[in-house]
Amino acid sequence: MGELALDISKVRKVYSGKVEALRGISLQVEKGRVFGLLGPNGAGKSTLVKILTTIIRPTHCEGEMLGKPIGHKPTLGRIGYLPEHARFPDYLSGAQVLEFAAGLCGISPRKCAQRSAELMELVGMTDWQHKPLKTYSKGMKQRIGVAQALVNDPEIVFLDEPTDGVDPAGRRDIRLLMERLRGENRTVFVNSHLLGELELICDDVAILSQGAIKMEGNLKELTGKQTEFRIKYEGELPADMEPILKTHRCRREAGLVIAPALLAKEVMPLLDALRSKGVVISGLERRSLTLEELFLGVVGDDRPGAGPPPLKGRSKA
Amino acid sequence: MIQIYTILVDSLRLLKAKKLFWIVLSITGMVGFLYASIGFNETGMSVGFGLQKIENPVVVEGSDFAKMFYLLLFTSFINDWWFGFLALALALIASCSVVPEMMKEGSIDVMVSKPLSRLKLFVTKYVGVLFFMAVPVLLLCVICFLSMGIRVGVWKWDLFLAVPLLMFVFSLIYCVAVLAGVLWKSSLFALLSAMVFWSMCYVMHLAESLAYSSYYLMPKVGMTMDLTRGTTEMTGEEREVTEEGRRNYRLVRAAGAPLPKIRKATLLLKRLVDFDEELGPMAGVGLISLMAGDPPQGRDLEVSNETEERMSTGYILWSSAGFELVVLSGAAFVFCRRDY
Repeated sequence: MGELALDISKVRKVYSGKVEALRGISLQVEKGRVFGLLGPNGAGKSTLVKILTTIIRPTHCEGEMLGKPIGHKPTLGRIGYLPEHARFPDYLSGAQVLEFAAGLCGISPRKCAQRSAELMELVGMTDWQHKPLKTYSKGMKQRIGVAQALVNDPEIVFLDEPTDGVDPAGRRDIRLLMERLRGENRTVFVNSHLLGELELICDDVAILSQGAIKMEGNLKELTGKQTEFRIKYEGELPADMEPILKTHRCRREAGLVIAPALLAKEVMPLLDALRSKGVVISGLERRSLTLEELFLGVVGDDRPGAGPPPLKGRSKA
Repeated sequence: MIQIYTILVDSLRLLKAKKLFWIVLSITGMVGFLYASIGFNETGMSVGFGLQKIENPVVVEGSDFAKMFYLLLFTSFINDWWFGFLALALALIASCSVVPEMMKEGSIDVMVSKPLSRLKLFVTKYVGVLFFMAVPVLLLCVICFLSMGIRVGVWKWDLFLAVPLLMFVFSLIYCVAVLAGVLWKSSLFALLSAMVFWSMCYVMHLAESLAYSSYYLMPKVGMTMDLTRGTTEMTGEEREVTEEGRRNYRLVRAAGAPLPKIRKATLLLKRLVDFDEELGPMAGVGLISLMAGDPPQGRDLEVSNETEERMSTGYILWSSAGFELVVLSGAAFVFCRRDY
């Protein structure tokens, strides 16, 4: 593993009312990677990001971010953050939002002006930058939110639902922006429900459910570990094929036999069996699991919003 | 410093965006215009740059009474009533939503995740909101200062004491709105809490003033009151303050001691403006008695001064500041410790 941007362990958060939102999370994120944090609603994704950005105080937290302990205020000058449902005052223009965010990071208005022009260009808001926010659409506000997260030239960027309310072209722009950030050796930490989008951009993912990490690792490795062969056939399958399919742990969909296997040679006996029964095979496709399938497989029946049960007899946060 | 500057600039932008602020500023401008339009001649005074003439044998051109009138109009009318009540209420309505709005999800997250301490953010934001009061007061002070200098030749720099004083008075009520806003994140609750608290303080001020009048002032000026018949009698003979009177007054005063002296602090301007320099010891003179051409003199003026100065400036300011410090510390503690 390369140099770590984030290395945390045993992160716990117990809210008053004894609701345990995070149950000992441990996570390592390498520098220059795009890291996706997935999970159903109420899994604790935003809580974790808010702990890292000092918005929420952890009940317990060990580890470092950019080589400094979590909660170290000056380090926040090296990170950028776009919260979920970000709100900026309507009386400001887009450029003033950036000036405000930069000023809070200790960047002078003069220095900010140059950076602001670059960022407005980057998020496609140059023509709108001097108009008040109240005239913006939701997607435009989100673009300004992304720009303000980058105003201090951060080493880590936390983006919580960055494509929320953004049109398809805007989503592509944000994806390209994340790729650009990765290219500049910055770390992008992204929370999103749009698994299809994350799949296109993330290097590593962690799946969070009920306050605990259920799976984490390199996205390609995680999805690549579970492959299947989709055998397309014509006509009907003979009734006596069923025991053979069961033996190979296959499932059936309309016109398809799906066999879980890592290598092609593992499905050859099945193909032979089908051919011997006179089945006409019209296609064969090897397919990795999608992120969505991986996610649903891991999260299973965890209902959205269903946090872990309240603690009994433990201390409050 | 850049962070503080940024938050203060943001407060000014917020101010500019509030319609109520412009309403207060416009009315203040009109009040200043009216003030500047008052002039004096040999027979009395005129309003509206000579449009309306008012005859008065005392308040005439070149007299000390004319100077006094101009000063008192600012210290006892504009300060006490326009700024002390109406402008204060409007500023409160305009500003009570600032903290609850700031603390909304998505808004506070951006600020708290930046490399500045929560305490610095809280205090600077609080100070920034005080501009709501400072800007209109400063505008009127400038108008009144110039008018007074040009009209009656009195260049009273002391008038500008109204700016910090009225900011302080506003902050005494606003701190309660901030505490309520931090606790409940509701603009309505913040406004209601501040208004109820202000009313409570005013009632306390009235009770203290009434107790002082009954137990101290009336014996001093030789007045007796029969509560059963509802009549008053003026004997003109000074009486000793009774022990029971002293005790009762002390009780009323002690009851109001923990509260900020909002009204008394507003009225302090008249005491802080140095009358002695130009006009002699006329601190106890009121605008109405001056207009009537019968300002209190001798023992009456002495009693009037004693009444105004029954609480020292230090006591009024420090006890009020102490209250504000406690309330603000509580609000800051909650703000800094809270999870957002």
